[in-house]
Amino acid sequence: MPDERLPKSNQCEVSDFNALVDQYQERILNLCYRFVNHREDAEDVAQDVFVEIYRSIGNFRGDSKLATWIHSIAVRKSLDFIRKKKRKKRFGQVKRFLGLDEAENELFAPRSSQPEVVVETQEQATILREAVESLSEKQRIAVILNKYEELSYAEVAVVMGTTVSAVDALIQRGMKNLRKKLYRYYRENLEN
Amino acid sequence: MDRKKKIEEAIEQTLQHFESAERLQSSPFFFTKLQARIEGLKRGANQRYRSAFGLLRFALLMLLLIWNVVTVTYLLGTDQSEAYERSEMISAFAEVYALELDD
Repeated sequence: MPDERLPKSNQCEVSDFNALVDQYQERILNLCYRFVNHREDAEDVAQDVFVEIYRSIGNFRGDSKLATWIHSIAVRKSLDFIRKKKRKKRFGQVKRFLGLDEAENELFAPRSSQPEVVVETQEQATILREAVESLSEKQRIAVILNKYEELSYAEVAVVMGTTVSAVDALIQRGMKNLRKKLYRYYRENLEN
Repeated sequence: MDRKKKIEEAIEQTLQHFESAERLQSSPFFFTKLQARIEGLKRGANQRYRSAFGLLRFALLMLLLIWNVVTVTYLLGTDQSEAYERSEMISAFAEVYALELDD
């Protein structure tokens, strides 16, 4: 990502803010979508992100890239949204149980009622998304930022407030868990 | 063995979807909605400032009123006690010099 730093004044003029929104809105929308998996929710969260940017631009110390700072806010807002949604669902009907840390859990079966049907390519994206969603929180964040959003390990480390080696470990473990989950899934659902 | 190979191929194909994942296009109304929220924030901040200023004005007014009441009460009390002391002095003076006072 190119190095973008705010002017020293840290004042957010309207035109600057509009330019910032124009530059980042799709990137942030898609990042939020990776977490919340729902278009309308992703738009709501992305709006929250830009409102937060507007309110707290004066607190940006410029010790990281602007894009990294914006990504941090987007990750935080997305996770807040997911937690809020879970709290609302707690007393509702439980659709599926999300594992904690590295606990194993099942992915959804293919939409076809016939498990022997070969999984179509277009469903593979959904299966991958669900597998990522079932990872532990930190692994999920690291995998989404690095694999979907193509942030470098260093950038992921800044966004997550951790070290590069920790990010490396999270991504290694995350990918290992993804392969395990996918293996179990295809073992049960792939035709012979 | 073939089945295991098939599974591994399916896994690799699935993981390829990291690179070819669906990218959303932002809605044409995204910016308009955001602007409306920002304007709402500004209005809210102005309203909070005005109500805080109004509250401060009210508080100062009450303070002034209370101060006035206390001052007047104190002054009235002082006048009365001074009058009483003067009358006592006059009575004592009259007693010493055996004078008669008009009641």
